[in-house]
Amino acid sequence: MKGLLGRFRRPGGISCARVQDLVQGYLDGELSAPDRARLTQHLDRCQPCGIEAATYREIKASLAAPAEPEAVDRLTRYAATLSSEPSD
Amino acid sequence: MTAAAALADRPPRVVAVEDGPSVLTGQDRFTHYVVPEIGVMLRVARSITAHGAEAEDLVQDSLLRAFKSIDSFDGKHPRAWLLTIVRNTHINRNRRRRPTLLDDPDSTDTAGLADHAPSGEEQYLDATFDSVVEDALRNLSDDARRVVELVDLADLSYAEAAEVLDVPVGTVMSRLHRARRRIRDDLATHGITSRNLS
Repeated sequence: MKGLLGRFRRPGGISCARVQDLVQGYLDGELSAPDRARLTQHLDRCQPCGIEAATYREIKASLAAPAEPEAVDRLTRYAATLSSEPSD
Repeated sequence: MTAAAALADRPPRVVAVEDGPSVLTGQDRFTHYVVPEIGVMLRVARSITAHGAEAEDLVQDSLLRAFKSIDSFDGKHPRAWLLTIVRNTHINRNRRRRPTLLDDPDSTDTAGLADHAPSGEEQYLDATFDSVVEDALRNLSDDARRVVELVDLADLSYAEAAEVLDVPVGTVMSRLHRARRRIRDDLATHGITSRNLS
């Protein structure tokens, strides 16, 4: 992604190169409010950076996908049998 | 006692419960701290095992281990404590299995070792966004995968993950960002950039 565009484009007052450094922190909610605002503005106006951010967002969503409810139910029932055993 | 030290495999010690009812029995503590985290434990177990059934078995074993050691848990960072149990249980299970796997190549108990490795063509054609992400996660280094588990699967902040791992926040950030770039690159290798644009 680093290239000519990174040098000359600064939507939101921030370069594409700088956005690449910050985009993951942005998606993790770890940026300060001013940085968050600048990145939001940049991503709204810069298609390549917007696509990059979308890819990372989808990677996060894929990793965070909830576990199968049936499996969670089985394990919760198993946990209940443990905690219902008479204590010594 | 730091969260990192509390999470290591050390002789148990009892400390006061910091939140929830002022006096909880071991069984109550198990219900209070552990049961709500079963979904997260299963997500992480899925990321470090090859099959869904094995992930469920791993969590079941981990729940038993957590139940037995609940009295030594200090009430801080239950999610991170449980994920450490999941990882340690997985390591112990693989350690016990390894001689069998080496001796019996026809064993169906592969524990993550692919005895049905797909061909390059099958890999390419069958790749979906989620399957590529899952495979890429398994192929990360231990350090990188650990950070992804804590932040992306278990939803810890950078600071919480840094405390659990006993490393600087900057180290969490660099490992995490490199890991995700690696996953992104694996997606690109399969011609996938985004669900909507692939």
